[in-house]
Amino acid sequence: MRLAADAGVPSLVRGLERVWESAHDEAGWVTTTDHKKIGARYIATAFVFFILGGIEALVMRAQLALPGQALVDPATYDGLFTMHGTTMIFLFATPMLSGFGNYLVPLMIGARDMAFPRLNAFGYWVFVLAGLLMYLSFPASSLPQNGWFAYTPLSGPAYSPESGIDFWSLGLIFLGIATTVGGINFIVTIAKLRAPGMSVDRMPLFVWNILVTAIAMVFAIPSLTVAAALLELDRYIGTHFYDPAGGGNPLLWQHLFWIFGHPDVYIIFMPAAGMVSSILPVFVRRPIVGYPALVLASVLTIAIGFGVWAHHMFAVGLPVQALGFFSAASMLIAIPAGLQMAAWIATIWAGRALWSTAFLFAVGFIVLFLLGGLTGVMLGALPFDWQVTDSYFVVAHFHYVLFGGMVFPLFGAFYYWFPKMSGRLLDERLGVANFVTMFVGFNLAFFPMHIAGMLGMPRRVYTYPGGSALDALNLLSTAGSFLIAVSVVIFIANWAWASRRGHVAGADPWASNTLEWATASPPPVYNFDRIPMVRSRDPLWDKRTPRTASEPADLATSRRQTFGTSPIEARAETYLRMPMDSLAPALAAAALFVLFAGLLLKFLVVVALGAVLVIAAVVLWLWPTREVRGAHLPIDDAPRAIEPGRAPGWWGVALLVGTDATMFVALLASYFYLGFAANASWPPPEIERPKLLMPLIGSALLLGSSAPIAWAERAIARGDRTRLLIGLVVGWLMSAAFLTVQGFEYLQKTFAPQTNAYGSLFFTITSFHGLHVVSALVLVAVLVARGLRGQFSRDRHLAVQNVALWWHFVGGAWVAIFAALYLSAQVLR
Amino acid sequence: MNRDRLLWLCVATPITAWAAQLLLAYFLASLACFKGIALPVASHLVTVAALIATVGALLVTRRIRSDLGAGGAFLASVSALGAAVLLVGIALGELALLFVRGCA
Amino acid sequence: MSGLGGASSVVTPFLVLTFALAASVCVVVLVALALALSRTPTIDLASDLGLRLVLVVGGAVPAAIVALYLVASLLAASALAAPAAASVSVDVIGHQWWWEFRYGDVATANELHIPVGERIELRLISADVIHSFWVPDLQGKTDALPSQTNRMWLLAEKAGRYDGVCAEFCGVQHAWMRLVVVAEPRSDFDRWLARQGEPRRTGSGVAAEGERIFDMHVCASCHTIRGSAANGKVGPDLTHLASRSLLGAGVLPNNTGTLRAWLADPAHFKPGVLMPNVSLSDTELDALVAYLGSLD
Repeated sequence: MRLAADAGVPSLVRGLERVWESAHDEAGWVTTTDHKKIGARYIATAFVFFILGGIEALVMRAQLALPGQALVDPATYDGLFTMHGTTMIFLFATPMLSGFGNYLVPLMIGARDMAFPRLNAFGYWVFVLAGLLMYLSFPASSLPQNGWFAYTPLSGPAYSPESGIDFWSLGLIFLGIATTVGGINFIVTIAKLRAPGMSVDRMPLFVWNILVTAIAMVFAIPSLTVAAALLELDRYIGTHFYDPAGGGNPLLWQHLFWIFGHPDVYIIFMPAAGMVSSILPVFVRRPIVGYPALVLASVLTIAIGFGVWAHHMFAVGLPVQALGFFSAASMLIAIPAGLQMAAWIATIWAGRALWSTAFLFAVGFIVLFLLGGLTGVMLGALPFDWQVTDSYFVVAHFHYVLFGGMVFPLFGAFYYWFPKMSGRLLDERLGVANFVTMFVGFNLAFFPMHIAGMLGMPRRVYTYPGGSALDALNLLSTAGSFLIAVSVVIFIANWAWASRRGHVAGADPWASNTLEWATASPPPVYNFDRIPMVRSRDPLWDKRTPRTASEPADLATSRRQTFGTSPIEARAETYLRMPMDSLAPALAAAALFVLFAGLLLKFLVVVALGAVLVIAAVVLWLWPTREVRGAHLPIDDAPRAIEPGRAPGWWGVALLVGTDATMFVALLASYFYLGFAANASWPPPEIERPKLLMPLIGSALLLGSSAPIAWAERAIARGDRTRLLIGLVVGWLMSAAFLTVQGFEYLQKTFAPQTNAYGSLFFTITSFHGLHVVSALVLVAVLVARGLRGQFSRDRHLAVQNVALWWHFVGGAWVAIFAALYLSAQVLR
Repeated sequence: MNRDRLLWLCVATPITAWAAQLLLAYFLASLACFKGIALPVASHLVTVAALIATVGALLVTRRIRSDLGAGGAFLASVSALGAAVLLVGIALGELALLFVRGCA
Repeated sequence: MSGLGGASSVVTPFLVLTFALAASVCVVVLVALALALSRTPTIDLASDLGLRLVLVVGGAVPAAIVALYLVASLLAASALAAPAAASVSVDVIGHQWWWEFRYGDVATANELHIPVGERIELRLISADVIHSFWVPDLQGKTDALPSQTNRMWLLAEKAGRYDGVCAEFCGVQHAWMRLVVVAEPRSDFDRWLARQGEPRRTGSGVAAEGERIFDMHVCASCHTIRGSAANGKVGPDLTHLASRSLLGAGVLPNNTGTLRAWLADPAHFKPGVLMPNVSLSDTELDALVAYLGSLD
């Protein structure tokens, strides 16, 4: 049954087109915030990186085809495996899945766009520019050569003085911004923008998996950002976080990196598993079996994934009795993995298979994921891990999990959703050739690596001694890798041919179950003529005709808006105004690029210019346009209208607080970790304990400043603009006084960030917090400027609420810092 | 307490209990191996506390399920299943405590 | 991983268990998948029955298997990690890109001699970046860190040569940071160790000329040859270089021809190696090779 336009609504369609279309010129290309355009760009760009990472892999495989070859020199080889891993994980897998999420999530949940369309555009531009920054290391002849894991001290200033690692780590910090805002956007979109009736038990599994992935992004990326930032501080200004000679510890890097790194595996795997859960039911013509088990598996995998990082460190010399717990936690992952396998196979069992290329890739995935999952449990066992870790066995294992677990579902997804995105079907005969070559090529390339690893071939070697079984195994792997390349070429040919000549697909070529198939292929810019009312898990297979729950036509066609619904039950709460196209996202991304390029070139003038441009772009972004003022209108005629919940903007800031708080946690954990490892009093004996009087005065000022800010927020909630301004100004002054006190304390210190690891930690943590205070001061200054122009009222002051939330967080973070740096220092002798 | 808040508390408790057991056990093992402060009983007490918190959350979840809407009841069911899996996780952690010793 | 030496009595049964379990699970799941794909549906799984089936088969069964496997792995891990009295202790120091082995004051490189049938303790540390010591046929790996001393043990039950590698990426010549463990009868080991403890044999003729060149050029600032003026600490101790079978941590076998080629241009064989090209004349090279070749 179709929800698409019937004959009675041409004026509705014309109105929707008028408000949602982007300008049809170059400016419109840059300013568009259409999630489908952005999603398609993510997919295309990530595919380019897939090709680049693939070429890097082929060069490596050619080098390893025979023992003792010198096709590339060792340093280049190291650069290639670093860029291959970095590209495939950060520039291909994650953005590719973000692309599918961007394109599909609003369609699947029956929304007109993402919750924050401009943030979405910003995320894409940051991704492109961060990828560009990292790839500039090729023309600069300065490839990072430390692997995607960049272990210290090898990546530190003493052993890698070249700038390659700076391209890598600054690029990752830059890219982390895109991933984080993308994650926040997915969470708020899924929590607040679902079509009325789509309660959490009716959400498509792909949407569930994007949701848990996004949560992992928001809380895992901060650890990587902190790790990379501390590395850059070691490299640029001579701090000692990872330097044992200065009281640091190289294992701190490994902890921070893998606390990010292991969840990142699931960030890559989960959306792909969601693709499989979307594809299988359609091609066996039965609803998914064990839906709650699959939801449970997704949530648990992500949650447990944060607790298994140390299994990457089984051989570094941690106490065995500590490793046992991480071994147990790692094996626990077998339960959610088992639930998924059982549910997928039961789904196939429940129906009759209709063989198509998408289904073939999904079944191929099950086989490969089975093997990768089993070797994963094996690697969770200490004796097994000690034997094969850092050997080619591990290379085999994670390619089965990541290539088998992500690339196979991805190609299935191409065949399944290409018709929705382009309106045309990919060719099925080429599709079968695509699948067969990839499946055979993959196993040929990666299965022998299990054996090579068992035989003792370590990872990351540019060559190996000849005359053993390794010769034949490596030759097989190389042959397999080139067969995978053939498969990808077949796919590109199919794509090129089908884009022009493929069979026209129609709205729903596979007779599917979820809402993205309820609209035309490709979908109109506003997604749905009328937003559907959801009554079951498989709305398009539901015999009850879905009634539309759309807004009145005159509202729908007068401005961009979509439904705001409650997070669990998806009851309609509000109409959410959506912003118009804007140049600000692209400008902000470009400004950040200038900032990071300046850091890379160690050119302070460029850094300062970038910082000014970033602030300017943010102010331009936040300054209200006429259309957006008063974003949060309650509706009168909603079905079962209830108390309106928090606005999406508030949720967005709350999640930003969450990700930022995680950075503080990572920094404070580093503080205590290095203190514990130093095995002495902390601060170390040669450094005086911090005095308490000045900091206590400062703390009173900063924490006290929350009172006038809260008072101001309450005042504007009653419509009192004068008290709003008074409260804001008083809070601003108190907080500025705190910074002054901090400045005096800095001047009195007898040590510097370069003195030892303690000094590095003290100054890094306090100045990171100081930057937060500055950001809060800038934001309140903007509020005051807007308040003076009378832009806030009783009903319209979301910006005040958001900034107040940020303000209280900055104060709360200080409480934790004060307890750690000042109070614990009095006790830890 | 607000029923929605109670639900979220029940969702969060088992995973928090499991994570707390993992981190505390790791900390206590490091304390024993690097500082020579062995507190074997403390580790078992942590396990017991984690088990109690998880079972408690499971029971409360089952009790409030019938008072929730379709989505809330679904979350409660999934949360109860999750608590069961995490009970296994906490038990596996205790196995690690019982069967492996040594600082090397 | 043939043999696995002294660890084999622990590791081999565990590996057999691992592969047997994995193979069984693999076969069962693949058969289920094949049946699911080939059969027409007979029962309605879209109900609660389907969910219960998934929870039992996909949740409870893996939980039971994993619990048993975890216990087996923890018992094996305890046995492997257990400290036990060792008859020989060796300090293993990782360098970019070679292994230093110290038996008390006696230093050698890239060739670890151990008495057969005895438990050897290794104390691992690194002089620079992180390395990892791995002799696949004898024991799992343990990292060598600059920030802490790690311990592991080796036990070779059969005499012979066991190849080893650095398993943690440590820079541009990670690939040629190899080693060999020579397990020999106790009497041979004692004789070897006593010989290694002696200062260098004083040469004459061309060899004495070689020693002069060695001490005059940069060689002596990096290498120690006990009993001579050379006492550099950066590169391997060469007091008994001629007794070793490998050059450049495994990149070449050690004989007169390869030694000469290596000295003429180390980076040709090992690009990025920290040993400089000393640019010697042919006669100087001959003398140097004669000297180093005499250090057995």
